[in-house]
Amino acid sequence: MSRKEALSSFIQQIHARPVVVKLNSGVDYRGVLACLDGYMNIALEQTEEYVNGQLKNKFGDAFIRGNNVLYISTQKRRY
Amino acid sequence: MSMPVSSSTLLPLELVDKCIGSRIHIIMKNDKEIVGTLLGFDDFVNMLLEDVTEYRNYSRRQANNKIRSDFAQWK
Repeated sequence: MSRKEALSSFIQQIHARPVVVKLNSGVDYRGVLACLDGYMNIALEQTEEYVNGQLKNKFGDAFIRGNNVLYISTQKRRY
Repeated sequence: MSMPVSSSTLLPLELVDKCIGSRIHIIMKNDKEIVGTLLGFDDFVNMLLEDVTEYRNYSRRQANNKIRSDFAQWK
């Protein structure tokens, strides 16, 4: 029931893939998912920060504390 | 003491479970709405969605009206 395995298989699938991480504040981070834990703490590589859809910053590596995360989504193309 | 659950009552999470595979609307705390196909959820009700559209600035007035009209049908 509840198809929990669907979530775990999604998490496995997105590892080392380009993702979009949206925070509760509305800021987007696009990068390659390096690491994800049970708190939804996230480590991203080649990170780009988008505020109001506009690129504001680039980070080589970025750590995002899990409590800030609204969603993690797959990303079709790299910017 | 736990309430006996008759077969006619539906627990809240059972309702969510029945929605797996269906298009659902998720109304957020902040006038935001997410529409997508529910693929699964976990104990925290983290959700996995497919073909998702995120609506910002979903008017609170519109949402209130919707709830009131639904409520009216129950009376």
